[in-house]
Amino acid sequence: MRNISKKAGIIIALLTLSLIFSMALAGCGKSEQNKEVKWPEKPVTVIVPYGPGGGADQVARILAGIAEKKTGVKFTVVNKTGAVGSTGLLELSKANPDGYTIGIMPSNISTYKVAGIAPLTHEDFKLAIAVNYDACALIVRKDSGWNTFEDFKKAAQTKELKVATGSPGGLWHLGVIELENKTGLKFNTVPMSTGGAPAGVQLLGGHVDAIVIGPNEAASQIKSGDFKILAVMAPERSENFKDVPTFKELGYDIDVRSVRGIAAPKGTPDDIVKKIHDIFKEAAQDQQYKDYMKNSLSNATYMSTEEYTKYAANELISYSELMKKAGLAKEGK
Amino acid sequence: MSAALLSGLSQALSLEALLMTLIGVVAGITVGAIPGLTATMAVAVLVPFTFNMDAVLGLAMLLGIYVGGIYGGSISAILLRIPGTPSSIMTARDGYPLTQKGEAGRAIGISTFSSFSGGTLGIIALMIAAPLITPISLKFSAPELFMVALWGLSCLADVSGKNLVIGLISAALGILLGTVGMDPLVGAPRLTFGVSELFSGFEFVPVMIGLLGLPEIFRQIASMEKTKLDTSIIQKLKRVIPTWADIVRIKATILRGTLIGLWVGVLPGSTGGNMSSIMAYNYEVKVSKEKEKFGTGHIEGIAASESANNACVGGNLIPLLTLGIPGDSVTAILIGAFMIHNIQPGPMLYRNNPEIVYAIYASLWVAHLFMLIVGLFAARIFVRAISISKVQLIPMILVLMIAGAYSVNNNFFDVIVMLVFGVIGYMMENIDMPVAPMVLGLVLGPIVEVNLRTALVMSKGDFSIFFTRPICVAFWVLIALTLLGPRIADFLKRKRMQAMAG
Repeated sequence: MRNISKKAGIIIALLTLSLIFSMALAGCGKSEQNKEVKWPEKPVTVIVPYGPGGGADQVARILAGIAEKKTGVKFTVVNKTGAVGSTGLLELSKANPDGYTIGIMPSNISTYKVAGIAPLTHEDFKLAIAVNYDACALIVRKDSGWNTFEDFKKAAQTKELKVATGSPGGLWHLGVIELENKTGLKFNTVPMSTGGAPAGVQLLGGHVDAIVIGPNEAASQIKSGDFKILAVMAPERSENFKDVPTFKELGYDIDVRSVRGIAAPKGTPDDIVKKIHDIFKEAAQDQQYKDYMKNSLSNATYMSTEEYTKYAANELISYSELMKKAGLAKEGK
Repeated sequence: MSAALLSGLSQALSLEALLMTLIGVVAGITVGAIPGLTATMAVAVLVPFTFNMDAVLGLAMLLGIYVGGIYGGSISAILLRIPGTPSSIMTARDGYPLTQKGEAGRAIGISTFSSFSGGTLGIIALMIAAPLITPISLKFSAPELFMVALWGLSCLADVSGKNLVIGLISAALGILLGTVGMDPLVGAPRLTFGVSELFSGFEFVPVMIGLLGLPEIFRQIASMEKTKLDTSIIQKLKRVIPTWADIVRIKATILRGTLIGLWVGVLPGSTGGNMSSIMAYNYEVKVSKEKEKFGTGHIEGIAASESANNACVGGNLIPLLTLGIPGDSVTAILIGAFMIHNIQPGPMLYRNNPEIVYAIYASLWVAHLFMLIVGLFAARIFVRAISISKVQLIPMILVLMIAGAYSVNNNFFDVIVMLVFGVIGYMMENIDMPVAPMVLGLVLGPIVEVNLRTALVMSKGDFSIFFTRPICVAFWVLIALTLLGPRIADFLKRKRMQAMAG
């Protein structure tokens, strides 16, 4: 009998340990109320509104790791997923505005309200700094016979081409719609519900003629030369492919980018937002971050608090219009 | 070539790398065994720790977690009927009845052995056939994936339980539940009733824990008053290592499970471990001569499910390594880990860093070997864990389940989802409606829908796309054989009997 209870004790201890482990994994590190001008003095929670492993998550984890080293304070990354990212952002918007809960802000913020997903815009946050962007790119196979956008355009005028893209209503999809708007072409657009990378698989398998996604989602094939980029939807050429023209250079005013930044809840004091900006600006200068961006064919960028806020305001207007044109807007809103 | 092989092996088999793999496997098994904590989560959380490690060491640890996590889910599935990870859903069906018979040790032994064999065969396929399989897998676009999932659905009838109609109702309800959330092609919310938490649909893990795990807990609580409080089942523990007779019995099952698991893993856009074990289990029931024994503690059921989900690991790594395209959520995270170490998975990897490829093969197999040793060793500890009084055990499991459901998204809504589905599952069991078809419908339904509609977008609404592509036609034949084969066989048998009698 005694033997059994001893064993039971060990087992309870084991289970308790595993529970503690699970709690640690769950990252229950929510900060308490404590307003101080100095920041950060205790662990900071970084909310990622998407699942682990995605682009937003990677950016958050690398920057948090660097910020941790620089400040000596723990930056805990917490994934709060759901409702195409709006669940995590809703929680961020309601968090205590003391700088101890911050989050990754995606460009999708400009689509929630018009799509009827969540009553959220950039105005519900204080945008501290933008750190990275991925621009939509028109990508075709090496053996497609198209070397320039003009070649592609000619082909698209004679026959309706199949163009795969990321999830419906997402940024890459808006890229296709904008491309149709500005060039007058018409495609058979195939949105992939699971995102941009699966669109790359479709192109690789020859099931579609072209794809419009961020180059980071098809990095492997672009690097190996199986895919080539005809043009990108950014204001300037990317460091990663200096000889790929922008649509602007080709005479089409198209700028569809997925910009990521760091944001805090609306009421966060300006001096703390400045501190957040400073630390993440420094973190984004780190070689590890720059290398990661270069390797993944993404772009490190910098927008100050003011620039980023202004950019987000413009983005809200332009993406709302695109969504409406594409019939993705919820009626009556 | 051989220099790269030696360099890769020496990196993967260094003392440090072996230690990292072992740590990964133990952490993976622990996380996998806790309901709600999945291999995906463990890998994601631990990726940053590998940033500053040597690339091979970091990958060794991550692969260890991956392998351990997939396997660990079977332990709670067998002991508690709560799949630790979605890939062990089917393991619970035959594993838990064995526990009730006092044969938990045997069940874990079979599961460990099958996981190891499936995983090892998967790695061999990865090593030998990766360049050959890749071009075929690329032929699978939306129409083909639709056919694969449809074939999966066509096997549903066999796991529907005694009453076919009630089983199919359960499956249909599962498919219906799978449509909740954002429409996958138009992006409009469906059946959400304005609840914003439902916009991404029901999170699968809480639903699974609720439907499969909670009813058993409720049942035990309900039966407590009738029986004595301390009636835990006495478990035979003399032998955990499977007997030779058992191994001979399941060898063909493991082979079939491995092939299905591997192929599901290779296909782009399938959901990896859980779909592979479901397909393998259903297929095993289909070809078995003792269909009625499945779900009652038939070791073939455990072997099919567990060999498939570990073979799926090798399968998932094929598109990851050859194309740089992730096959499931874990490999999606692994891509990030590769990038941080300046390694670009894909065609260039074999050319530029062949030693890394060999190191991955070696680490992966070492991880499976550690899994086998740790699993067989730890089985006794795990089995003893359920031998304590139910009064102590049940609250602990409940706390773990709630923590697990919460931690999927760090969202309390998921805890409510789990509890509600627990009650639904309990009611379903009380009216003899099996929950397994509902879970299968929930997994396969969305895959069927997305691929059906994507294919129709591609063809601009023309259904002939499902009949003009050769792979689709092959699947129609397969489905016809699956559905009609047994009936034709029965018919012929009866004819022959009549002829003989006449």
